[in-house]
Amino acid sequence: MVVQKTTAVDEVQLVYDGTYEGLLTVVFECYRLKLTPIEIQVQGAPAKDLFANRQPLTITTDKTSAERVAAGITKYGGRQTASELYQVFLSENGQREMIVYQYLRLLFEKQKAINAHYHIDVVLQVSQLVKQMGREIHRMHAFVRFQELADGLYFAPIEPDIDVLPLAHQHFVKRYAAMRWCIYDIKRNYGLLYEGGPVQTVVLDMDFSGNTMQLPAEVLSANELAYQQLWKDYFKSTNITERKNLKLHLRHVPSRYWKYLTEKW
Amino acid sequence: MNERVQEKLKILADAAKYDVSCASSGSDRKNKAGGMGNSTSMGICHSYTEDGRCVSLLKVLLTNYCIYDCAYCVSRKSNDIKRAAFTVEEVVDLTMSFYKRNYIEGLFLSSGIFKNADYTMERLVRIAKDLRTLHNFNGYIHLKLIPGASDELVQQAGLYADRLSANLELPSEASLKIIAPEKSYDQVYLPMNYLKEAIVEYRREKKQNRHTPIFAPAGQSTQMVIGASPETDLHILKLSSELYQNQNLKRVYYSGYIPVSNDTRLPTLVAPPLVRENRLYQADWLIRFYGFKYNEIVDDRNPHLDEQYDPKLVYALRNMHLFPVTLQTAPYEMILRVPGIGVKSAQKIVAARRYHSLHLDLLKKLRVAVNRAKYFINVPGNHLLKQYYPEMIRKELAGENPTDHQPQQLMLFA
Repeated sequence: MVVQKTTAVDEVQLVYDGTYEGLLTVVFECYRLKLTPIEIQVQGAPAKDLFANRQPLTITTDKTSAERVAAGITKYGGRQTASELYQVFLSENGQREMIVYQYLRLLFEKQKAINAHYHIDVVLQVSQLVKQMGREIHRMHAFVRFQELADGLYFAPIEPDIDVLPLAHQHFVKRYAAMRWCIYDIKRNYGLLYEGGPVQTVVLDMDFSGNTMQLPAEVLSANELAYQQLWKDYFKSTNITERKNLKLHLRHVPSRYWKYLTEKW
Repeated sequence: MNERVQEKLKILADAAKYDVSCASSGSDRKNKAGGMGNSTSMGICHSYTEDGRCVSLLKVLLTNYCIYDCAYCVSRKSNDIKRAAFTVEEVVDLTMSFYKRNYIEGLFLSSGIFKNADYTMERLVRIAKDLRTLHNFNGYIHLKLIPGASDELVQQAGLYADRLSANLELPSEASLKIIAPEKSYDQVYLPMNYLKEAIVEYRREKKQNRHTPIFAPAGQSTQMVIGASPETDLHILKLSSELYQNQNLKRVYYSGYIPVSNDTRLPTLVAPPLVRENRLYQADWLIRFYGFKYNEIVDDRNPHLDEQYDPKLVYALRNMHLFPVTLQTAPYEMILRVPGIGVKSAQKIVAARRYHSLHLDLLKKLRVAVNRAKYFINVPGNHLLKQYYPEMIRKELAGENPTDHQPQQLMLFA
């Protein structure tokens, strides 16, 4: 027999549409309706056992409400806090919604930035998640490898540990402003395509099951394989065998990324 | 693209790899409309070789033909190796093609000296100029200053490159005279000093006129070979400190000597002095980021860095009277001196203590290396009541830190 956990009436399970605006609306509604959420979940996500017999409350995303919360974040926490919370939202951490919610409760209570209140668990959690995100974004800046296709598009399949393309792509927009390129997240099956204007989201029907992400010669530009070979040669030549240190090598280039790295093919 | 380029790349990358600098940091050159690339001030390592070194730039020699015969150098005239030379177009094409594929942050171009210094320097500058002006390339460029190059060419190099470097090669002129008799410190210091003044001048002009063309935004660096000559670590760190202070260098690189010849002017090494090199870098970091002076790390009584323990720990053990540091109230500068607390942790500690009293558990959560720091800090929750003597700490910490080493076999001078 499952023991019914006693909860106050205003302690609820909330469901939202999975967007950041949706989450900010959830926070807004919690204040307006004086709700204390014990769980915030994306619509359609499998319910957790403990609460399976309770009816969750669905929050409808509202742009105006979300904007008011966003304005409050910037007002009290500054742009850094705003950016950090968005990163937490993208972190794919199982508790990300509750972390953002609890952090905002605290921020709005203190009415000033709380980034350095490390003695509070939720603040520490945010700082750790932001660090994780930063590391993964930096890895994408480093490990993306473009292959030039026959039509001149530069294409890079990649599989980040976390969904960081929304944060990592600006770097490429600035750097490769004069190129057409696409970075494709295989794990989450979407990519970002840039052809000069705003970046577009694309979904491709392609097979990426191979041991390496080297694309077949027939889709590549005439010189692509030659440049890949040159890069591999360079990578080998620039190594100093007397200093071999594979442990260090692996720490910097974890083997799960190898199939995306031209020099490792 | 042909096999000849492939062959050249192998030879000229192999010959360039002993220059250890690979930094792509310190510059934040923006992309221009229709242009290719930019620089990020923190730099990006795109890959790491199997020796664990960062691969950030396409690092090649323009040529490994050389009129000099420096004993430590693999490209010395008397060495019987394959020689090659890139054309300007080949270097430009490799740089652009690698850059577009996100393999690299830019180009590190050095060269053997053919004909004379200016003839060589002029070609290096040509490549940088072509990349910037013909190809609108805004990625990172590091150019080597050829010893003895004229002021005019150094000036031009600064207009196109982000960073420039003139290598001292050896930590003293006496050693340079023995191992590389055709070179002198003068030849290195002349372009270095010229560039220093030019950068100061650029910064001054920039303040008055923001349209002043960018000049060597990532400054200059140098490199010296460690373990090929008898200088002490005290001598080396004193020299580095002076270079940072007087020449405004951004970085001094230490390259553990790797035997590339059997020349009798050089020592016979069992293995490259990698531990010593590592310790020098740690000491260098302490000087640049931790507010240490070189003579606090090494002095006449201890002219060499400890092989087994890192210099920060050794400093603390030698200065036990300064510890334990009371973290709740100590100045930032003193917290930085605690072994196990790095720059980021120190900043977090200083930020966090404004809002809440510190506790050992909080330090653990902030990922401070508590096992190391606990002997040197006074903080609630740290129950190290007994009096510790330096030797006891040494014993307890043996093998604790990944950079701790067992004492190594000493090198032998032939």
